Amino acid sequence: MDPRKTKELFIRTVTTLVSFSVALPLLWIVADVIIKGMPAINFEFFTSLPAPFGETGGGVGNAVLGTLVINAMSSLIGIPLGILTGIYQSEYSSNKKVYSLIRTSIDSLAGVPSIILGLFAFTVIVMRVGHYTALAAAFALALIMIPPVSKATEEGMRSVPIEIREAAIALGLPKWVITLKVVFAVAKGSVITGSLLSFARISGETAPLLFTSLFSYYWPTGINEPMASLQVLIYNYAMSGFGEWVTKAWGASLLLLLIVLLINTVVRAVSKNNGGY
Amino acid sequence: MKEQEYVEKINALLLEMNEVLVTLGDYVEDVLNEKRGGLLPLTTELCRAAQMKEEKVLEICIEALIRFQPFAGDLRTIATSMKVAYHLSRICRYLRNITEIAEEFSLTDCETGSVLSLFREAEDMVQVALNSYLQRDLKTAKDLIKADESIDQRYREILRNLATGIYSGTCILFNGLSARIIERMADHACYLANETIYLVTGERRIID
Amino acid sequence: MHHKLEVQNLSAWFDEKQVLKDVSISFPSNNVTAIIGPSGCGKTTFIRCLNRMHELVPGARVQGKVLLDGRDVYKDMDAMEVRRKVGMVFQKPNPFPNMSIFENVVAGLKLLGVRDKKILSDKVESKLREVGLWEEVKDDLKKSGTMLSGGQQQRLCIARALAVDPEVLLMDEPTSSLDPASTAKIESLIRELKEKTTIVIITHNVQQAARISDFTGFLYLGSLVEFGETKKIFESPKNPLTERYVTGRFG
Repeated sequence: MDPRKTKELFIRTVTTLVSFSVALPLLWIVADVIIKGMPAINFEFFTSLPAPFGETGGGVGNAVLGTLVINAMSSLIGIPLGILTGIYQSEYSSNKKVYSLIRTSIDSLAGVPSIILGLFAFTVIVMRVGHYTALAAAFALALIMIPPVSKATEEGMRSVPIEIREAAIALGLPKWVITLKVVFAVAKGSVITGSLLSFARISGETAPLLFTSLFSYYWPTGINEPMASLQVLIYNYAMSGFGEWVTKAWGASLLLLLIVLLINTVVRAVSKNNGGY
Repeated sequence: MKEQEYVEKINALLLEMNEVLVTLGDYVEDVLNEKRGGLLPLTTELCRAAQMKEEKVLEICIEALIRFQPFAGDLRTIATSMKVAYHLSRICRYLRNITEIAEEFSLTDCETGSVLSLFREAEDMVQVALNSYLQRDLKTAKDLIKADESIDQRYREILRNLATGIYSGTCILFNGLSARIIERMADHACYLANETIYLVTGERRIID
Repeated sequence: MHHKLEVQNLSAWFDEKQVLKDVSISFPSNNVTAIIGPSGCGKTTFIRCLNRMHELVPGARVQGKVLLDGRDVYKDMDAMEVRRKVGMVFQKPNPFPNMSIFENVVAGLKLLGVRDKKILSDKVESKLREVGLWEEVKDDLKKSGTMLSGGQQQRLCIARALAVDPEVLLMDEPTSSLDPASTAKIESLIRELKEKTTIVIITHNVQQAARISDFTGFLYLGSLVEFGETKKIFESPKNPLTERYVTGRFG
């Protein structure tokens, strides 16, 4: 065969094989999680507290609730801050130096390993109040959420065509109205997908939680106390060696995986529809 | 600035019309000078040819308006061409009229010298006017319009002479009518020159 | 003749580059004035100085006076007030993509907090009627503004601009991206609009200027070469440069 054609075929084969093989671990993981996690899923799983070590039954209800509460608190802090920063960078930051400074700060924040952010929250909040608390978890996770939300907001707003802005300016609208009610409104899609993705991201973060919300075997009674979460539950139960708990860990993993995959699928579907805005 | 094709065609037609006009003028000379008769069929033919050329000029102008939607100088060129073609055609008809009158009467003993000289002057005016238009010569056009005064005066003189009654009836008629026609010819030469002024300056004037 | 807008010795720069040189024009009220000239002659910069949009470009500078009914648009008024009184329609139709037709028309009101449903729907109907769109879209007011054809979108943009009742309407080559039928509709609309508004239109199409304007100004390399009644400019312009431009002899 012609040497050029051989090279072509070789490259084609290698890249195809590699691409498919990258999908393999994912499929393997998903299959594994489903197979091992399905047995744990039942009504009790969602609604009950954990049973004492050694006993069967019980559930992970408090971890499910805890994850939702912690995620909600983080989102309440992280998303608005991210959006406001994104708006500032896109619309108000006029000085190149200031823009660069903020940009670099946010990018760097994104690069900080989450365990360090957890440690930071530990030092700043947990040590000060003297006990583990979900508030510190929310703080750490919010810091993780800010960069992607900010970036999505900024890019979404920057990509709004200048013609739209000019139309709004020509109507004599004040800048804040244009920024919020026109440009931001048009960029909403981007902001929402950015927020959803960051929500999915923090659902997977475990290290920060180990320093902040720790864990609990009870229903949460307030936000300034340790709180159970699916991630930490998986960490604890999986290493326990106790069959019941290990199964529950797989069940929790399945749940977490489903949440994350669901969010990612929704985001992809929405992006395809809007194709831009 | 390249002259558009349609302007070239129009100018060519105007020159052709002028040739017809000059030929008609020669026949009128024959009538006034040698008292020649029987020229009516020829002059009628020539007149029709001139009218057809006038129609052709109009056709080209309309097409240019449709195709090019011209403005400014181009627009004025179209507008004036149509009027110039009309004036030339009118003058041809005047010339034919003189030969027509000559058919009616026997001119053997008729004195036509003054009318002849008036005619030659008017003929010159037509040529000068047309030239000023084709060359866009503003000064010549303005001067020509002033010169109309002298033709008018000579025309009135001829009429006064005729009124004294020295000549025979038919002679008076012929001279009178011809002089009138020639005076109108000169007027149209002035109208033509007026088109030159509008073409060059965009100014519209009314001349008497 | 009353002059709604008077421009006196207007010069404009983008950083060091001077784009407008000492331009003075008076725009007669309730008339259509066209500004013509070859690309790059400063036409767009000129009208953007009239509604204070030029100054939004970093490095942009303006000198001279623009008077709206005698008030200095730069010194006596704030930019937003100017833009409400001097509206603008752009070359490419730009309806707000996230708003319905209804919301687009009254965007200038709704976004400032006007909520009265009656006021808004009356405004929508009256402005859409003015631009000749009402019959075409009255049953689809909730449809997105971008679902309309190019010509309809542009008329929607005109309705939007008119909804804030401007005294002057600036139009930057409003039909250059449209097909001939839409262009004709908008030209006929412009002739009607001048009864209530003073219109300044930029066009690179001299035939269009001849068709719809009452007065014409010819801009070349940032300077005003000639200004006058459209009839006169297109019949016998005084300046040989103008003559060359309107007869299409510009290189």
